[in-house]
Amino acid sequence: MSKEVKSYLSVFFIISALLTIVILKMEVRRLGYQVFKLGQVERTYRDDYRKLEMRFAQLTRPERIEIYAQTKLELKEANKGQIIQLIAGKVAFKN
Amino acid sequence: MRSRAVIVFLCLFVFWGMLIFRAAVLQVIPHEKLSQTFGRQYQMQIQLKARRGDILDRNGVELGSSVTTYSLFADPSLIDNEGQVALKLARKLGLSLKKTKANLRNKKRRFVWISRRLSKEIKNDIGKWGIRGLAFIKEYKRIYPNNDLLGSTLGFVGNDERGLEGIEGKFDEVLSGESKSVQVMRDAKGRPLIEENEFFLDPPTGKDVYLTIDRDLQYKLEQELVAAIRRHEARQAIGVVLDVHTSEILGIGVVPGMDPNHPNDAEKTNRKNRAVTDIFEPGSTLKTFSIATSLEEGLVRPNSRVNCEGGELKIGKHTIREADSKHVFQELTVADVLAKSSNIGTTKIAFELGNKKLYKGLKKFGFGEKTGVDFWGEASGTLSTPNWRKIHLSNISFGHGIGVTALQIANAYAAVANGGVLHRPFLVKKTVDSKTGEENTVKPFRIRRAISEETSRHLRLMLTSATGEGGTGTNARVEGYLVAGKTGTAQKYDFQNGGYKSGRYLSSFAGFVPANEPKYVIYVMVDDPQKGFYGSDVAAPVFSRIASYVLREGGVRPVVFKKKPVLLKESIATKEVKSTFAGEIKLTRVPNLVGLTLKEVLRRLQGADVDIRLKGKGRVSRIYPEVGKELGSKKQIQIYLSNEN
Repeated sequence: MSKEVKSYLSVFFIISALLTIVILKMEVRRLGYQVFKLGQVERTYRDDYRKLEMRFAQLTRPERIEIYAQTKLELKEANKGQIIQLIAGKVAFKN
Repeated sequence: MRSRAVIVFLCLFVFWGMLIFRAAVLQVIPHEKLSQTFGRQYQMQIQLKARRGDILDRNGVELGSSVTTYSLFADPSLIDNEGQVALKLARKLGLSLKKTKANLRNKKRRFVWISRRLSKEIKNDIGKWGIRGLAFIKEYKRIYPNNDLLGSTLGFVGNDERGLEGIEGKFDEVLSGESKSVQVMRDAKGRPLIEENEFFLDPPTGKDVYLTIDRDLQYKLEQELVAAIRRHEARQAIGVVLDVHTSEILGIGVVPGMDPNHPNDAEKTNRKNRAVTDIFEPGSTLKTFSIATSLEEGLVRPNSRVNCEGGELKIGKHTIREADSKHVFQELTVADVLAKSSNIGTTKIAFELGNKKLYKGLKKFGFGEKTGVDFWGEASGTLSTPNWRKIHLSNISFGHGIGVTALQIANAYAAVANGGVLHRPFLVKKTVDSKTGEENTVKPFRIRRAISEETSRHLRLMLTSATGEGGTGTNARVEGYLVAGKTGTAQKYDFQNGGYKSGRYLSSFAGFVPANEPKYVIYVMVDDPQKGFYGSDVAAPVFSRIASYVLREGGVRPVVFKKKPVLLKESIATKEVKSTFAGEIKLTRVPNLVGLTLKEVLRRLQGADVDIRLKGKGRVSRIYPEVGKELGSKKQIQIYLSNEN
């Protein structure tokens, strides 16, 4: 290869390398924006999950379940003699 | 020509040299003004506000938690057409139109709150309007999903999410966590640039606090207290349930209480946990400790006889009588003094003890000092120094002239039940860092030995007879279990004017179950009942219902102690047991149940749509129809236990 061609190639490689660095830096920056945005989305989902957990806790609170059981299911509190306790498979007594 | 070229070269050299030198100076030598400019243009500070930790019960059920909400603010200087914007906001958020307009017209201000802590849905709706000058800030809102359950114990937070009362206040530092401030680089549009993994970090969280409370037990306790208030038209009711061996607080009910979601709706007195903050004269429930002290000092034995003076005892110009004028006792054993709750009997025992010994004995049980519970505002109660006149000694011995809290009484009974050791009661079981999983568990703390094991044993037996035939606490019984306890009917003391209020009482019952192997201490106090006032009529039945629930839920085995056999005879086992469930499991063929016990059979077939008929006892030996055969239209299975047909 002639000296001229070698010098042109060197310049070409140097410029290509510099351009590659610039492009990679831009790509890193772009990915950084994406990560930040996804992080925000993830936090939003976690917040939503927490709200659902609290909503579940509200729906399953004992007072609500009792009212539901008494009104919708027409269940009543156990009266004396209705609760049977077992010991080792045998009926012990009625409470 | 050559000299011209040199001059041009030198000029260019000097020019470029100056530029490079200036660049070097700017890069290397620190410059305050330039650094500030750099910070303003390329850096930004992001506040990562800590989310407040959760409060949960002993089983991990949520009692209080923070959720994300959005608070709307406006920059009036950027808003055009304030009237229209104000109208939209007022309609959407239910605000005062006049006030909103006034806020938006104040162009001097750059920040005004419009509404705080809105839901995500409302935020999105307002966001869609695209109105310049309106923006949102993320804030947390504290929610208590069980409404007023355990309200006065949980406490509440202020607008800034700092705890103001109760557990929220006491453990504010633990729950709050530490907010973080992060410095990041930003681009021309103000967007943060990812560097050094900063944005992989979550906002910090405070620690979660696990209480010793069982939510379901707490609900049952509060329901029973509410029912007692209604039934007896009382002013308030208090209940405490402790673990006998550790003094963990399993339930602490104060009714009426408050809903921590709306603390300002409650009266100030209802925001306190009155089981810990309020003192009252306990009445006869204190007799246990006077008698315990005399037993411990060896002055009496359970069967020692005490002259009860026929129901009337003169002390100076005062006369002591029994609580019920119909109770006229000539002579009682010490055990009967406790069972029949004799004021005169207790007085006589206290006279034998003397001031100093009784005072020392009561102090050993924790009266007159704080229990050390992990809660704000605990009262120490009142127990004056033992320079008592005889009448005061008498009064104190049966629970007047001394002030206690409900928690103190319950904790002292725990010492009687567990063999004589007083522990510090506690509400918080552990704190957990939700990020790292690190746990800090609170261990039970032994304060001191109050009485010997032998004295404790005697007292347990004596208190059991208090709920037996002829005792005042028969209404506290729980079928199938031994119950030990003491009733209390105390006249209410008027702290403002002095003296006792006529016809006004505190009805109470303190006890532990099961008496043979104590597990739970329960104290119930009903304040100022109008329908009935004796502890045996008002508080004892409440104790019985709570104890029954606690024992069943705790899986405590009933004991056989009646003359009449409690265990049913074999013939009862031949009774048919029909499935009463909704038929969730559809069976088409006979399942293999051979070799199982009755309990296992019932458990296996729970929810199945079959009619089961049992014969015999023991294990399943035969099934009809045979295993694997198709069930008929009646879906009946005959199960033979042991070798019986």
